[in-house]
Amino acid sequence: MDCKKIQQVIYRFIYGESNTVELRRIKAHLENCSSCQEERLIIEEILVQLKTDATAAQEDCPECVKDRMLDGIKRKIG
Amino acid sequence: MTSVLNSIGSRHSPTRISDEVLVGRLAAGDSGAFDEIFERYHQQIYNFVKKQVSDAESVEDLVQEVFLRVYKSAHNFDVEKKFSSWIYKIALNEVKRHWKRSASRQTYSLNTPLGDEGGDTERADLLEDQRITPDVLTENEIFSKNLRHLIDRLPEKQRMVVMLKVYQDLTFEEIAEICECPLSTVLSRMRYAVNKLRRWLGIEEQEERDEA
Repeated sequence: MDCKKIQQVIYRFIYGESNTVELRRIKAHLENCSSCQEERLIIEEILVQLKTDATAAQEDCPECVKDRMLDGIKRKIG
Repeated sequence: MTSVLNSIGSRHSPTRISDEVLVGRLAAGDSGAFDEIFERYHQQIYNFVKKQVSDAESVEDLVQEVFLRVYKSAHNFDVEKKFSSWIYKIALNEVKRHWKRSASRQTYSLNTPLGDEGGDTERADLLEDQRITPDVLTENEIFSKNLRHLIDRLPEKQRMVVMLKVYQDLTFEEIAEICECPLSTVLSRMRYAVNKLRRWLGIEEQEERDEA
């Protein structure tokens, strides 16, 4: 697997979605390519920041809104 | 690192009834199954819709429409597919229909300060304007590293992949199903999106040759 191919599959790897064969090839490449390894760390850092921001932005659906929506659905269902 | 990025795994207990079984029961007329589906998904769908649509009343209406479609279309659900992909696809379609109706894309919850006085229409116009580029970002915007703000400036398809991945914790395969495109396209959109964010944040990146 070359550096260009790594760029295409690195996100699946980072999120733990690579299949077994892909995983083995990516790991082998990263062990021998400092450039891709560095790239991976930068991407991970950004993704963690994105996730942190996303978590902070999550808003719980208030109970009253939940109840209102469910009531509305059930009224429409009849 | 892994625990932060892979929170999806913690959502499901291995012993509970699967979503797919529940929707099968719903299709067979079990109304209790619908209540359970609503209980499991109302929060995620509410959050997803809320990030795309500004006014609270529309959010509630759209969430209701999503679950109504689940209720009415349960018999059409392909049991070989993942329910989560199916319901998000329904939600995405409802949101797109809403955008068409209102002729604007709205992103209230991202608090995008594209103009203090700007309403949703103005904001949507700005966002849809292809002339908006990283060059127009102010120094303050860059230094504040307000990622949510920057996400909102991504091209629509790339933004949606980021939203579904980062905010909704879906797998890339699920996102491909929802967006009805190949997995490779979803991965490209994610890569281009992150590379844009890096560029806007002033983080060095590998060269890009084309756009997803």
